[in-house]
Amino acid sequence: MPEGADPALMQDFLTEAWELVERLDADLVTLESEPASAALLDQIFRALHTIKGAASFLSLGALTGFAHAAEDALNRLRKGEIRVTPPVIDAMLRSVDVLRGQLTAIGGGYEPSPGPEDLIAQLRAIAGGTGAAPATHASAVPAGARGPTAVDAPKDASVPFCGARLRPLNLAAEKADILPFMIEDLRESVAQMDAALARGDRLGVDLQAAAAAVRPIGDYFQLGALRRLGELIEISSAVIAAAPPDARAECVLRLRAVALLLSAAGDCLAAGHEPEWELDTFASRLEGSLMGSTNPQSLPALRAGDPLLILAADGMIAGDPGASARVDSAPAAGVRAEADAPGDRAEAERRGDKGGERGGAAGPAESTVRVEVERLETLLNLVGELVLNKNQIMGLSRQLRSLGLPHELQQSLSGALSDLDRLTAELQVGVMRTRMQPLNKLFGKYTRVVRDLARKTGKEVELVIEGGETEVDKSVLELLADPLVHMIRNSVDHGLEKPEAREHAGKSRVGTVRLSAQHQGGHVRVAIRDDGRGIDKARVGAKAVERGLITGEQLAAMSDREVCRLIFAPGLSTAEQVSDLSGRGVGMDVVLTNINTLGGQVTVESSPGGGTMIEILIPLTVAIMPAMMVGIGKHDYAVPVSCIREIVRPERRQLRTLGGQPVFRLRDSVLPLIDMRDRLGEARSSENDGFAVVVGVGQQAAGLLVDRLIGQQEVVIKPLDDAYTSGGPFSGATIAEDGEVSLILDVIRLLRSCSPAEAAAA
Amino acid sequence: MAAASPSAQSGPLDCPATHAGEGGLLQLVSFVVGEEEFAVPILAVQEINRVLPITRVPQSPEFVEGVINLRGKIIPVVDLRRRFGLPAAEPSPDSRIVVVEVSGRVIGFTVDRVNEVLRIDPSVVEPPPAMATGSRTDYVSGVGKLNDRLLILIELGRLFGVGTIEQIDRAAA
Repeated sequence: MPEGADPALMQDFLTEAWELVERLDADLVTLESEPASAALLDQIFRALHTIKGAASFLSLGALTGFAHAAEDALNRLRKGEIRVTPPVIDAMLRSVDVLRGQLTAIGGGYEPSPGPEDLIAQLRAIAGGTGAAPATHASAVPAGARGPTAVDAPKDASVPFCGARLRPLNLAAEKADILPFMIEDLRESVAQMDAALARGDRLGVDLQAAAAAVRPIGDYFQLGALRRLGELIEISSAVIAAAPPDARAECVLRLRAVALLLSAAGDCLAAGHEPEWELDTFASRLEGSLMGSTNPQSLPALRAGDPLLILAADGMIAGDPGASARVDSAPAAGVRAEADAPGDRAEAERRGDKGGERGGAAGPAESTVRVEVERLETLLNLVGELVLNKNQIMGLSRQLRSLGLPHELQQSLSGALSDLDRLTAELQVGVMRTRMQPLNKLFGKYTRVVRDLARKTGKEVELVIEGGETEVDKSVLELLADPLVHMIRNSVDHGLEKPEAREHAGKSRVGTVRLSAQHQGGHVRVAIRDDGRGIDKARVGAKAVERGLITGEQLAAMSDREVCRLIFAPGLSTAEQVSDLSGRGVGMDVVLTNINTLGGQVTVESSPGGGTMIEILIPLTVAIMPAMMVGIGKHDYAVPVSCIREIVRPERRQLRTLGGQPVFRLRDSVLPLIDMRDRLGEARSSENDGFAVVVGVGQQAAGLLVDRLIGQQEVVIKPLDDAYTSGGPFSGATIAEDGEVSLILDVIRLLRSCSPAEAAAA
Repeated sequence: MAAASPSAQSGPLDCPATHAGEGGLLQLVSFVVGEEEFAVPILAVQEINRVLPITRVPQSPEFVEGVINLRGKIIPVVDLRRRFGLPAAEPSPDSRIVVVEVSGRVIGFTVDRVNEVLRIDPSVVEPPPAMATGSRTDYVSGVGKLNDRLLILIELGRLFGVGTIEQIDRAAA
């Protein structure tokens, strides 16, 4: 991390930059299929620009330089000067990868590398000919100079050109030629001005310099707005040092607004428009503030520290419906549509201001708050504790009641307790919901994965995403990330055929991978379906025998579905060639491991020539789940209700052994029976036969023989992840009402131990 | 914590200096398992509890007594008697669970009795006797000689090393 950078700012930057980078991937891939989408291009450009600006603010030179090169290349796309082609997208995607590498380096506290030269050369080649001298500019951005402008860029972009009225820019040819350079100069000045305003010392001198740069541009091109702004800067430079301290904040904010306008002017000019603003109110208020009088209309903007609000308050950004009528040039429709919203906001601000302190403090409406995950974890733990504590209190009150309380006291105790019960439950749900995130957070990344894979394997693939808005707990989301990538890779690499082969088989050249998610009870069902060749069961089986994962006899006894499941066994890959994509036999076993960790189930269905579907069923949350408490020997254990099919009381005649393994008959089927007392080394407390809890995951089922049934409870799952305690068939532990710990049985591990296919895939 | 016979070097519990290395002295918590007195660095010790209900965890290493609920966190508890190969003993009113943090893991272990917090001069600590063999020596970082007492200094990282579980299991089998 560069010296002197504020770690908190840096962290914010990294968080935001990572989010933007992830979005860039998906957007670029989408762009390839929708090359005409200007909105998309703008979004991509904005994301890149935001990263660049913030990086430059934090003096991350390498990142800034590289982002700038990429931005220049992108800008040509945006202007429609070059077309969106796969090589261009490749270069852009590679740039995103470089940015990612740089961010990783910064996050790790290293100086990022400037980016591969061949890529930079490629980007420059793409950018070449814009006239904006990108090659020299790429590394010439003064460190820390462009910060505030760029940080404001997204807001900026939501109000195109800061509400400027646009006129077509008519320039003589010789003037038009040097326009790009002038724009560059203008932007340089804006950056310097922003930096000066952020620093705050020597303001007079710096502003003088900015004015000296801006005014000649205005004069040369006969641009009234620039001249006027130049004058304002000049006036400010002369008196700001003498401005009363309490008005200084407004002066600085207003000057930041000036910088914003200049930057917008640059954008206008670059887009071939001449900007014009109604500057009178703004100018008189700026002069007023230089003299020490703060205008009440400026208060909301001052509180929010947002120069855009200043512009809104001074009527520069369209605040009244009539504003749109003033726009008289080509992009008017877009300007109007987008300008109205901030106008309303400004309107609301003004009203709020009249309403007094409370309304005024509302500031720009922010509907989300970024919270550290750790805080949510703490909160969740506390709620878990609270639930346990509540259970204890409920238990104590039952005891109290049995001792006999006065009727009235008993009544109010019951009332208070039922309130406590309800509130705890609501709080629990509320906290859990703060941790929920849409699956799109993951799904969004896969468009890129699929595109890259398709390009590398020479296949044509369409990824269809359905139900991405489905929300799951954050930890579930994280554990799903790897399995999903592996399954998607598998579908593209192994499942789908090459275009020619598909045509030969009478299918369309383009293969489809369908990724869908939906809620199902307390679970989320995620399915990946491809229309490829399907799993070759004979080959998978043969391979598994060859690798010694199962014996020939075991294979013969396996159902088709069980054979399909063998694709999850480690070390099994049927791809002819090992590529860097998949086929090395690692990966699919990760799927099973992670899904098991989540207490989920995986099923595979496949038909020759018709494709493969892998379906995952996972609980919405991994923190709290319904469980059946059972007694085994002297201890209590929890069995996840999601795995329980039924509970029966087996009669002695139903119990048999088959090849040395105890089994029992359940209607038409014969299921393995696991005597949990033996399995857990618990004493046989009674000679009664107990209950068989029939558990199943996917196609696998077995009976667990337990001594007692205690009842169903919502249990808070605690990890049992210490190396000392993670060896047994337990997926976690939970704390009972009395504070004692009960272990949660890992049904999947138990099932595996009594099935050949599962044992092989273990 | 029961204060034991004061020795020349042991500091009183209310000594204001609580951080290790103060004046180059080692700050230790000493406890008794079986017939011997052991000590661990005070900074590793999170807390010392009376014996809580311990839930047995089947299929964990033999010396792991089970898990406890430490204010909502589940932590493993090691039976030091078994870890040291001593015969099992019923918990007494003096029994304690010492909770330590070892390279990020929080682990409890049962001891027969906690003695005291003491400060000793590193010069009285000698390396573990070269003659001693067997699994016991690898976690002994030194032996402190205090007047009539022998204090066995424990290296917690080795005592609760994860890599050693299998070996220990095999040894115990």
